[in-house]
Amino acid sequence: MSQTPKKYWNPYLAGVALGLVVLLSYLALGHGIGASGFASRAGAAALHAVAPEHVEQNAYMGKYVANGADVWDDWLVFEVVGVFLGGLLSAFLAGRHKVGMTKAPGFPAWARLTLAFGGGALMGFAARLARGCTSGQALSGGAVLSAGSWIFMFAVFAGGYALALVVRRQWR
Amino acid sequence: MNTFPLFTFDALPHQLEFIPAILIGMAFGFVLERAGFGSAKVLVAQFYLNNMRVFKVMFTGIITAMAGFALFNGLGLLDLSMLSFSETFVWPMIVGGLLLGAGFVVSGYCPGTSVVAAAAGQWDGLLTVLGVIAGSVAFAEVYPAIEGFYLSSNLGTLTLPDVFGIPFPYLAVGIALAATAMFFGAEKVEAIFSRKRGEEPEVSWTRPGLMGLGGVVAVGIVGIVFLLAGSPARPVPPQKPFGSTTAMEVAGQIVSDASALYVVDTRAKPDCEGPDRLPSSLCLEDVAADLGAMFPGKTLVAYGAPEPDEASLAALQAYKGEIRVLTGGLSAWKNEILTDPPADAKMPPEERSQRMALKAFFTGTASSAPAAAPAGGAPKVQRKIKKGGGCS
Repeated sequence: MSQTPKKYWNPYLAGVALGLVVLLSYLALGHGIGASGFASRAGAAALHAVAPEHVEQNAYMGKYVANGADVWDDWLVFEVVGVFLGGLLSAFLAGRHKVGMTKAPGFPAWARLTLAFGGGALMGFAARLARGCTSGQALSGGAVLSAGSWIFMFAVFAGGYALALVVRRQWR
Repeated sequence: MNTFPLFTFDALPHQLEFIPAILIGMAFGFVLERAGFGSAKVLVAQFYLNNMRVFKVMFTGIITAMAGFALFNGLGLLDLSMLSFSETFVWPMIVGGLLLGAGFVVSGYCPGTSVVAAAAGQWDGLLTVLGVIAGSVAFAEVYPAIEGFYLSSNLGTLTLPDVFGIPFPYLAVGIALAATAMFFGAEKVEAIFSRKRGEEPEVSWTRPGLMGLGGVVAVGIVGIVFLLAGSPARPVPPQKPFGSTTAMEVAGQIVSDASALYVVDTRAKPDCEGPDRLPSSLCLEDVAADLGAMFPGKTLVAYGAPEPDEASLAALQAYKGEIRVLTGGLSAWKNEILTDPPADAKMPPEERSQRMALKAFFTGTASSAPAAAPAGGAPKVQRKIKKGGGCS
């Protein structure tokens, strides 16, 4: 018998909490939070395991491993591990931990997973271009009023709305 | 006195850096999940307008953090210029944003929330995470081809106060007001589109929500009041007293390490460009605009004929390092350095030989016309880029 999942927090309260986390990050470390940088390092690490020289000579990834540096040795890696743990904890405590996937009932699972991967790939690429994602740029950079972050934020909303109708089958 | 950020770059021993990183990450992940952002259904609803949580949470988060910055800065506890964020690359960020938004609605998550979803057991969340990793690698692989674009339209570390010329406190207030107005709108839009789908809209304007927002507004107001009270118009910095130096000292310094000095000739052109001047001297006219940006670790020796005038002294104030005026100006230089000491003057032998050596040194090199344009006078402003706002 499944637990009744708790309700989500009021969005404005959740927003305050989120803002406090961002604030805490800046006050403690002098910079905001992030997520996509982790993926960039993870990819470099995975590739480095099979093709080390290729990574070392790559103009973008080379810096992660230059001078014998450890790819995983970066605060962002630990922060994202924390995100995973925090999400896990919250999901369990709220009775929301459930293995499955989210999609419209009639939509095939393989298609959903393919789109998830494809959409993720698009975001991975995009986040490198923009030097961050919604966490690092829009939220953290937005809070300090970085012009690029606000530009990015508007573009994210625009891009999402533009594609929404195209993929609505997936969701409803 | 600034006490925040607590651990400015490299202040925390590297081995311990992971502790605040994990803790902050956990708080982040926890809040994201509580906000409902571990669910693709909630996240994409933003783009179908029946649930505007993404907008509400994100903007409330932004104005909360801003209120916090205003408060801490206003109380003198935080130096805003110590906060690091990435530079503004206009076109890459526009294109990146559009692509990320598209990927968001296609995958159902953003990079951060995909991790939360994966933690909550969602396969599509996990696949999204893998996709983000793959996309990053793809980027690195094609990087040489797009490097030009990637580095284009760089406006540096630019903030909205810089762009609009509106100081941070006023802009923060404006944004908070605009966001609040948009929250009203968001509630209405949600109601309309939920009903269209036959669903009852989620009501967010409840006591807790309003209290939360009210709290933020209160903190923001307090912070902004402090900010405004603390810094009225730009206060005029007190006039720096200038030290003085002698021709011998300057000569000795130039011989041992000329790179420790800026030598500035305060005479007007064309005098300051003529052959009659100190070696490697810069014309004040040429560098006046750059003084504030010049590396303050060097000593700036200013001279005139004989002394710099009031206007020059005022202009020199912009330099952030130590300034010394050459006593006696150009004449002193010519008399003490470029000419032999008078044979009948009483001076200790070491001093005499030193002056002879200096004269030989400087007249040997001073015979050729000095270069017209001062080379390497004003190094570019180094606003430390430091690490980006998170993802680099």
